[in-house]
Amino acid sequence: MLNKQGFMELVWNNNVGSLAMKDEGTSERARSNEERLITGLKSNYGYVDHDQADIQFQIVPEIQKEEENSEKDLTLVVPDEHSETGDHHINDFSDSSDNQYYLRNKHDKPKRSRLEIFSDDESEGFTREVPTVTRKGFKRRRSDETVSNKMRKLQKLLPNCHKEDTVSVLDKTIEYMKDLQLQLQVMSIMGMNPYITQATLNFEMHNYLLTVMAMAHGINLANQTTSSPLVPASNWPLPPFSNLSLLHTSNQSLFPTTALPAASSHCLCGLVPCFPSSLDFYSHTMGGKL
Amino acid sequence: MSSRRSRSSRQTGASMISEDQINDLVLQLHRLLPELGNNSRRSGKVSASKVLQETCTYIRNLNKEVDDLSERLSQLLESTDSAQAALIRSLLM
Repeated sequence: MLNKQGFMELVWNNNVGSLAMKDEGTSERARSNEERLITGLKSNYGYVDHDQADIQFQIVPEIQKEEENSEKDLTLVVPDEHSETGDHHINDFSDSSDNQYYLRNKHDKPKRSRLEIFSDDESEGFTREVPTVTRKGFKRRRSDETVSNKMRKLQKLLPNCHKEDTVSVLDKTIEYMKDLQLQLQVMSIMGMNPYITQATLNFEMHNYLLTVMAMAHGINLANQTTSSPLVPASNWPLPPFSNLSLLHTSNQSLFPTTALPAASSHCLCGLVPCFPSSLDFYSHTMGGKL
Repeated sequence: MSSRRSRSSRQTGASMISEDQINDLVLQLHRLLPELGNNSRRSGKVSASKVLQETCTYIRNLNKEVDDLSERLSQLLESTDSAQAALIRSLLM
């Protein structure tokens, strides 16, 4: 093993720092000198610690949480005498070829002085497969990779998200977050004061529902025949909202659905819900009523 | 973000439009996130990867909170008196 390492060190030395040989796993994949050259270029990323954190997220399969990701990555970063590199590498590289490069980054110690060898001009001519060697170039490319990876993670988090493009994923994320926040607000209100009066309940639920609908979250409300927001409370024939399942498919049983009970005369119909600042609104009601 | 924009302009013109959109969306997302350090919310320098990562964790936290709260609520419902319980149940289920 040591001989092999020594040999690889000879090959790598012109490109990479002396610790390059430590990822024995590269021998399995870097079948040609050219590939090694490329990876050597990549490994010369002078990665800052912050960026390194980003890298770590990419490597581990995305199903794991970030906390686990970082922990697992740390074990991989440990020099090869501790880890069974072959297995680790194989596991981690199953995702995409890009992972190879980034794992190599971790194993190869970057020599920042070597960066001076590569000028900005050189990097311009490279295709996407060969990395841009400048610092800005690496960070840009790496941040793109991290962004796309995180997009994928987000997609998995979002319920019923079937689109892959960035814009719609971001859109859905924003809506989902707003919904979640709203939902938590209302639920915490109800949780804190289970003995709230019927009036308050009606009022808050009404406003909540109206707020949600006003935000127009693209949710298919099955019987969405809502009247205008200013409907007087005593005249509510609020139709049954079958399955206002805003979020969280697993919690549909608890939140919020069926028709509101018959309106009570106490409802404060004068208060118009302020839609954009609905969250503030709820906090105010909480302060006022509880 | 400007670096990414200029880089994408080299690739296609069409992606330029979506880059702006994406920037806006990322900013919006950033505003939604519970921020611990940014009182002024400097809009110029939001790093997308950081925002996305915080979003992931935040959504997970929110989901977890919703789970917890709904558990609590269901327990509460079992313990409150029947009138209120019926009322709440009719609202929530």
